Amino acid sequence: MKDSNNLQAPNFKKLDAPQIEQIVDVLKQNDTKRKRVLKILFLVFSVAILVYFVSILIKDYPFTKISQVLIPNLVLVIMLIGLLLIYPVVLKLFQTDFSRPVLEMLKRAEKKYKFIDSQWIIFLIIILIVDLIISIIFKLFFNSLNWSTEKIVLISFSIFIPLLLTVIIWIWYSWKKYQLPLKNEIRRMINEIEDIN
Amino acid sequence: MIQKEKLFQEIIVDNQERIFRICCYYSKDAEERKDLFQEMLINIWSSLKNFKGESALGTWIYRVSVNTALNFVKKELRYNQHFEKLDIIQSDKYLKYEDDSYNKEFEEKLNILLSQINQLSVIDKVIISLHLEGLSGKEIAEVVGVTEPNIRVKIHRIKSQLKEELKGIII
Repeated sequence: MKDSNNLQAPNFKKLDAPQIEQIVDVLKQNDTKRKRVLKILFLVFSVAILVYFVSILIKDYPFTKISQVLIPNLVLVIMLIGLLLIYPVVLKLFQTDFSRPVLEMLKRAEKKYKFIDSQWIIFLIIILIVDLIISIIFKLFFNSLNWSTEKIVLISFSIFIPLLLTVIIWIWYSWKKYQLPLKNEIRRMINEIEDIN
Repeated sequence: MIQKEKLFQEIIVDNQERIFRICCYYSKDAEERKDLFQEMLINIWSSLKNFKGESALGTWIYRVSVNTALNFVKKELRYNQHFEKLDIIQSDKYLKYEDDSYNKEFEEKLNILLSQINQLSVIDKVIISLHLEGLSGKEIAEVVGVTEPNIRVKIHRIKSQLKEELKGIII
């Protein structure tokens, strides 16, 4: 790779060694800060799950007869632990590797800006499971009030369906306003590169 | 970590001018160029863990720089306004302009060429900027992710287009 002499950066003064060291220090501090924030989040979330888990066990102690509330609560705890464990993996998936070829980067970016993809299906499944668990908890809790199953399901749906619709409409609106023009621009660039071939 | 720091320092010392020149193709504004330069440094730092030596270090640096520049262009399109400046690196502290080696005539010609390059599509700009940086067809193909013969044809077309447009201005 030869250095080009015919085009130079206008009035660019080179960074000297102490300046680069300062930059490295700032970048290192930034890395440390990010790691610390992630560690704190992880700890807070772990403690919250533990406290919740202990509280549901205490509620059922001395376990002469395991209550029906315990089962959905335990399922919820397992789900939260699962989320906690997959969080670093998900975080890694969303990190951009800028050292890939341009065409590959653009294709990944285009995928990221899709409105409906596999992440949506996972999101919907999670929402349905949470709704199911909360419906069971509702049913068990309101049994003492002699509420009918239909009424409980209706209450549960009346909370979740509008919530889900609001989230979907909000995501769709922001996607259309901010991400769709980007997706179109990225597609244009991909087409341009693929036309070279 | 020490090895990463050492490699980063070496990369910056050896390639800072090249990296900054890439910035010049994607922004006319001096402040924006500095912002873009910062982003490139940050992305080189954070991508270093992915450098496995599969490609030459120079090609790798250009990949990171060009991808950062394209990302910058995308963000510009998204917000349609100037970026909020990052305060993690105070660029003014590190980037300075000197006036003693100032060559007005050269800079005028350079600006005309740059503004003409700026009229090109983003992908043409990527290819011609790498060509002007002295990368071979094979290296440009590795950066962009297409085949070498096609890059050669594309460069020829862009050059002809630029020559035509700059006829009588700087040629």
